[in-house]
Parts: sequence; structure tokens; C-alpha cells
Amino acid sequence: MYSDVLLLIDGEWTKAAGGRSIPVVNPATGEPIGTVAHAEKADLDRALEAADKGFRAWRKVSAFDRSKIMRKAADLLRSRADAIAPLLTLEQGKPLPEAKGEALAGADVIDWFAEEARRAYGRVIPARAEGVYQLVVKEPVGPVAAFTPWNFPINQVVRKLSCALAAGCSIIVKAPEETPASPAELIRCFADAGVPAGVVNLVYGVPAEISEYLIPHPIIRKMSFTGSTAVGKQLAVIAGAHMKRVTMELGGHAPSIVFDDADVDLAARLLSTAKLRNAGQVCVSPTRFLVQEGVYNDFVGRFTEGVKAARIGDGMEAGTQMGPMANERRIAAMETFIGDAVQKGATLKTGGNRIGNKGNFFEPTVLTEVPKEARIMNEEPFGPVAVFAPFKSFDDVVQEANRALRPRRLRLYPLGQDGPGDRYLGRDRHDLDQSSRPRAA
Amino acid sequence: MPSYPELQLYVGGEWRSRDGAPVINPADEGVLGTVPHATRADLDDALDAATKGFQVWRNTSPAKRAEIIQLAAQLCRERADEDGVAITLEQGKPLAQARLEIIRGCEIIDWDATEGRRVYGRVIPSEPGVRNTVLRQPIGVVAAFSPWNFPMSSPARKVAGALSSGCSIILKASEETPAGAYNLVRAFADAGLPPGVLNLVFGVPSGVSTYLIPHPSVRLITFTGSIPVGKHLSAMAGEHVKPVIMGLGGHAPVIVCDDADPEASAATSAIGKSRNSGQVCISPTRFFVQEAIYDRFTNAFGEKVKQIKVGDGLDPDSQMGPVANDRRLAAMDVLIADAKAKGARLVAGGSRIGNRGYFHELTVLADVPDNAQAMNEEPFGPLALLSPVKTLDEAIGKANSLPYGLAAYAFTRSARNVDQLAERVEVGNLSINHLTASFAETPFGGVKDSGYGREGGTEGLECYTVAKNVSHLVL
Repeated sequence: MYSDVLLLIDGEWTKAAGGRSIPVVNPATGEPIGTVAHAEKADLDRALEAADKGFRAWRKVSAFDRSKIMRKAADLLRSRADAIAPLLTLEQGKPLPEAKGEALAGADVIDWFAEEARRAYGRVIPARAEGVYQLVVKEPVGPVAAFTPWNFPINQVVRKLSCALAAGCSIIVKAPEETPASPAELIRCFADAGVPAGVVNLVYGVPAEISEYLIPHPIIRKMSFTGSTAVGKQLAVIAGAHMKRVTMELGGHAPSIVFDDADVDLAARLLSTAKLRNAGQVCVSPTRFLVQEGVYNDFVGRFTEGVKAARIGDGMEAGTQMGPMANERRIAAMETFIGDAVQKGATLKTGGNRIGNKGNFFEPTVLTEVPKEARIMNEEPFGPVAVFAPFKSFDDVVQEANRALRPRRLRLYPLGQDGPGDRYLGRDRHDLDQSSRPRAA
Repeated sequence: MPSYPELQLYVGGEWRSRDGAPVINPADEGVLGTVPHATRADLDDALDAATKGFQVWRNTSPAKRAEIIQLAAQLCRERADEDGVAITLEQGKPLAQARLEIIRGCEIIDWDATEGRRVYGRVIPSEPGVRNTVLRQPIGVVAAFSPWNFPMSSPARKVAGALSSGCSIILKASEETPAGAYNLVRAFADAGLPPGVLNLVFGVPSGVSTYLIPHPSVRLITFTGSIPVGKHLSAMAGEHVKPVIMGLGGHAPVIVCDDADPEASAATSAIGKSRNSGQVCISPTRFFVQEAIYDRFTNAFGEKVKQIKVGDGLDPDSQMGPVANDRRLAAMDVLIADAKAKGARLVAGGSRIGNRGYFHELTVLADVPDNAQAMNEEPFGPLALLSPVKTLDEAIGKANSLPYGLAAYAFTRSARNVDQLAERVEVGNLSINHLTASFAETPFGGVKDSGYGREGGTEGLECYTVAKNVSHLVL
């Protein structure tokens, strides 16, 4: 079912020029399931050339025709969702229905932007003098470099890809090496729908090498990134130094506020389900549970029951509500966060441990009375851990929700210099541990 | 001695005196002056002037237009004390309300003037080599008809909308309250508006409208007034394929939910009802109060009404003046008698005050049945109708039961109630926990028989412009 993933350059599915590849591992079993082609400089140069040529062709395609091709890609994605979903689950771990839902939602995103393409209105501004027309015209910015993370392999790509194509831009997508097959299938829908060669290009490799090469390159006019705040800042520095426009979708640490007058049972059901979605590896995952004193114990109890009842297992098995974490680094991160919080006075209400020794399964975890100094109160956990703190008044909770978080400082290295972790920008969304290199095959 | 201006027509940049009809002070029934009636020749001159003025004005840059329009607003502000007196004299409202009307009118003028610089066209993505550009251009000469209840701010909306869009306008303002419009037009003239862009006429209303509306020079009709007249004018405009802006009557429901504070909401309501003696198209009128707080709300309403002092608008202690004319007095008598006969209970007021001037008590009727005439026809006077309801559903059903749909109000703290109200109440303007239905920056207008088109907001200038698509294949 899972086959080796290739690069797409200038309309051709191809191995890397140097023949290298990276193994892909199923996070539910720890077993390798395939490989992904590992692009190097020669491949990137070809992709850049293709994107340059593709842009010049695509910007001349009328918005009407662009939208038609995009809608066809959306239809293909819908019709292939059943086949694509297992690939996503095998490589990323999320339960199969979530994977299929992600593919279908991706098709809706494409449809939306296909129609927006036809509405990229400029405007006519009344002039001061007679005989003067003042037009503001929206033109495509140019070839785009896009970097996307592993937590939503399809959704994160589709947002960037659809916007770029709708606007008339070409794009080089650097999709995640750990979850490469489902984004490749997404991009196959566009290729099959008739997007001209060179308009969409797909590469994988060493994230830092690719970003440091593509972003400054004169052909690239814009970069778009979804991933961790730390990496986002580094890429924004590169983009700024080369005057490239950026779109940055970075981390979060969502406060989830429950007031005394809320329906506690409903809130606990909704929030416990939301916390476990994608094993908490979501930038909008509810994280800091701030609960008013009057319902604090009641809410913690119901929430804890909710997450304990969830069925955890291989995402391919029917009935699984939460799959494994996407990679081993997340396990280590959870253990570090939980240990730190408990040592600083938090109470471990449930969970806290890895499940078994095969696959990256981790127990849904509830930490209560977590002090503000705990790392998990300042750094995005990106895993199935809920941290609780009670509050007294509206003002108190708003202050806590807006508190400036104090993440442990990541060392930033001068560009081009090899730090212990940041060479692998984009590899991991939210790293405590950025040191694991992709294993070159 | 308070001053009332010598009224004149304004045609092609020239002030003209004419014979006409007396203007009556509703507080003492004395004659204030004469409203000049335009002759057929005056109307023809106004049409000709407006046609020429349009060519000048549409070719004046939006920035320059805004400068002149805003200068006019500034002059109105500076003259508010004096001009307010004239409004009180002719219309009856307390002086403070007359001044406030002018200030609010100026806010509307300023808003529209600055919107005039933002009448954006747009460029539509098309085939390479083809550029589709939508231009928004002024529609042309506007014929505007304004009512007697807001002598300055109602004409101000029309003049500001037309002028800010680059249109010229012939304003036929109310003959019963002409000074508000007269002073407004004088401010524009003093601000340096080119001749013919703004013209002011009075006359026999039906005579003026039946001449102006079909006239080929006129491209848009805007009218604020009663529903029957609005329908009549719309039909006439339709026959000549002219678009219209219609701000017609309302019969505003006020839904008081059982989670509201009955005393506070009743006090707010009583003051809102007293404003301009209830002669406001958005006046709160039908109060649907949930049973649990109905008695407390009714009692508090009655108590508050008794504290509102009715008297000559020039007396600084007066909170409510007379109604504007004797027709309103007669209408109040009919509506109150009918409601009482059908079972309504008189909580406060109910009668004319004295026999000189058109003063009427602020009147509260409770337990008013649905079939009372006042529940179905806009009272346009100081009359509040209270009726208990069991549920929000029932209240919304009653609110929507009339062909009117201008303003509605509600009092509640519940987000769920607000959601239901926002979704289901059929009006153009819904205000919750307060009784201000419109601001300069928000769109104002009705649905159903209350009219169409919007004044104010970013929507305000839409009706005064036409879209023209320019499709250009570049050779």
C-alpha cells in the first residue's frame, strides 16, 4: 500500500539526482514503511528553474481557467480520499477517520480558493483631478517557497498551495519528510487535474538546507511557513535579510477558560475530545485549562474521566480515538515536560507514561495545580497533556490567558553555522529536542 | 425674541421669494412665517440648474467635494443654537433635542463626505490582455422629499448622500417645518457649493412630486415619509424606471425578556418614547413584555412617564413638546379610544393638554389586544402600547406580524435570546439594551413595507451611484 515517495519537479515524478532517500517509519509500530527521495542542490536548482518558468505560464492563465483546474483537483482529492487516508494514518498515526476528514477538508479548501481566484479584486480609487484613473491591481507575487509540518500533512500543504495557485503564483513545496506520502498524493491531484509543468514542485530533504537555499534565491519572491515559533523566527530573519514576503503560522498555547456558569459536563466532553484530537499535536489544541474555582474540581474530574475513557491504539484499527504520537521526539518531550511540572509542584492526576515499548503511544495526561514556572506552562506541549490551574475572577483569568509566556531560550546560531538543532529547521514542529537528524539511507 | 427666518427657495444658486402658505408654531398655533411655493417655472429652473450643476459637480474631485461639504457641516454646527430655535418653533421638539438633531445631522454629513472619497470601483481578474474595471459613477440628478419630523437631519441625509457621491439634488422639504432645510441649504451655499448642485423648493407636495419624478432629468428619487405616500411615489418612479430610496414608516416592537431589569428598561423606554413626542419612525411603540416582569415593567413605565415634563420646547424644563400638528392630536384620540374600547387599560396620560397648542400627554396603555387599531397602524405620537407575552417565540411572532420592518428593540442579558432576536426579527435595525437605532457610520433603513435602500454606513452612497463595467481588450 505504502510506496516510495518521489520528488515532483517540472511536471515529472523523479528520484533525487544523487539517488539518496530517507526512510519513513510508522509511528504505531516503529517499523519502516517506505522511503522518501532526498533532494539536494541540483534538484533544488531544477525546481527553481521550473517554478520560474511555471510562474510565467501560470500567471497568464485566466483566473477562470485556474479555478477550473483547481476545482478538478478538489474533485480528484475527494474521490481519492479513501485511498489517501490510510497513507496518512500509516505515516503520521492519527485515526483513519481523522485522516479521511483531513483529505476531504482539503478539497473544501481548494474549492474555496478556486472561487477566491476569480475575486482577487483590485480597486478603482476616486482621483483628485479630472481625467485621472487610479487603479490598484492585485498581481501574483511570484514563485513561492512553502514549508509545512507533519501534524497535518495534507491540510498544511493545501492551504499554501491553493492560495498560491489561485493568485497565479507557482510554488515549491517542501513537505515533511516524516509524513511525505499524503502530501505527495495531494499534489498528484493537482498534477492530474492539469496544472502545467513547473507550476507545482515538491521536494523533501534536510529542511534547513532547503530553506536556507530557497528563501534567499532570487527566483523565490515569497515564503510561507507553518511550524514552531522558534524556527519561524529564524526563517523570518532569512526572509527579511532578502526582502522576501512571509506568511508565518506558528505555535500556540491555547488557554481554555471554563467559567462557573458554564455547562461543566458539556465543556468537559468537548474539551477532552478536542485535547486528544491528533494526540494533541495541533497548534490550536486546548492546552492551559483555566477553570474558575467553583467548578474546578468538578471539571477536572469529568475531564479526567473523559480522557481516560478514550480508546488509544493503531490509527488503522476501527474505533481508535487517539493514535500514537508522530515521532519518538514527542515521547521524550512529554516525559521532560511532565517530570519538570511534577518536580515544581504539579499533581499528576492521570497518565504520565509511555504505553508499551512499540510505537510512540503515550497516555492522555492530566496535570493539576501546575505552577506558572513549569516549562509546560510556557512552552507548547504538542502532545496529549492537559495542564490545569484554577482562577478566581474574570480579570485574573484574562491576565493569565494573555501572560507573556517564557519559553526556555533556544540558542540561535548565525546563519549557515551548524548548531546542534537548528540545522533541521522545519523538521519538527515543536522541539525540545531538535537534534535528531533525518537518517540518510 | 426667538427668531424665525424669512423663508426662500434656492434655485440655481439664487434665493427666491414666493407667496405660499403659513407656517404654524405647534406650541401656540401662532403663525411663524410663510413657506414659499415654487411655481412651475421655478421647478423648471431647478431642473435645469440641477442638470448643469451635476456636470460641474461630478467633475469636481471627491477631495474638493468633501472639503465643501464638510465646511457646510461646520457652519451648521456653529449655527446650531440659532437654527435649533427655528426647529423648535416650527416643529415643537424641546430645544435640546433640536440642537442634538443638528449635531447628529452634521455627523451624518461628515461621514458621507469622507465616504465620498472611498467610493471604490474594482478591477476584476480576467483573461490576460483584458481588463475589466468597474467604475462607480454618480447616478445623476436626485429628487428628494423629506418629512416634518426631523426638519434638519432628514434633509441632511439626502443632501449629504447625493452631494458626497457627486450627484446634484433638488430637495423638496416639508412645508410644515421648512426652516431646518432652509438653514441647511444656506450653510451649503455659504460653504461655496457651485450653483445648481443643491436646490431647495417647497409647494403642494403632490404637485411637486408628480412633476419632478417623471421628469427625464431626474435619475433617482429619495423619500422619507409615510408608507402610503411612499408606495404611491415608488409606483410613479417604477413607471419611469427610476430607482428609489424609501425610508418609510415603522411600528417598532420592544421585546422585554424576563431576564431584563424591569425598572431600568421601563425608564429607558419611557424616555425613548417621549423623544420628539413619539413622532419618529423608529419610536419604540409595541412593548412585548414577558409575563414574569410584566407588572413591574408596566408600573415602572407609568411612574417614569409621570415624571416627564411636557411643555413649550423653548422652556428649558420641557422634556417633551407638543405634537407637530392638529392631525396628530386627532389621530391620538382615535387610537386611544379604540384601544380602550377593545379592552386596553390606561396606565398614564390619555388626553390632550389644554386647548392652545397641540400638547398631548405621554400615554401608556397596557393589556392592549392585537386587534387594537394602534397595534396595527403607526401611531406617530406619544403612545406606548404594552402587552404581555409568555415566551420569546411569541414575542418575535408578534414583532414580525405587521408589514412594517424598520427598527426593533429588546432588553435581555442572554446571549441565546440575542442570537434568536438577531436571526429572526424582521427589521433593518435592531438595538439591544438601548434605543438608538442608527449612527452616522451604520446603515439605516427598513425591510418589508418600511422601504428599501440604506442611508449611512458604507452602504449609504451605494444607491447614489451606478456601476459601469469597462472591459478593455488591450491591442
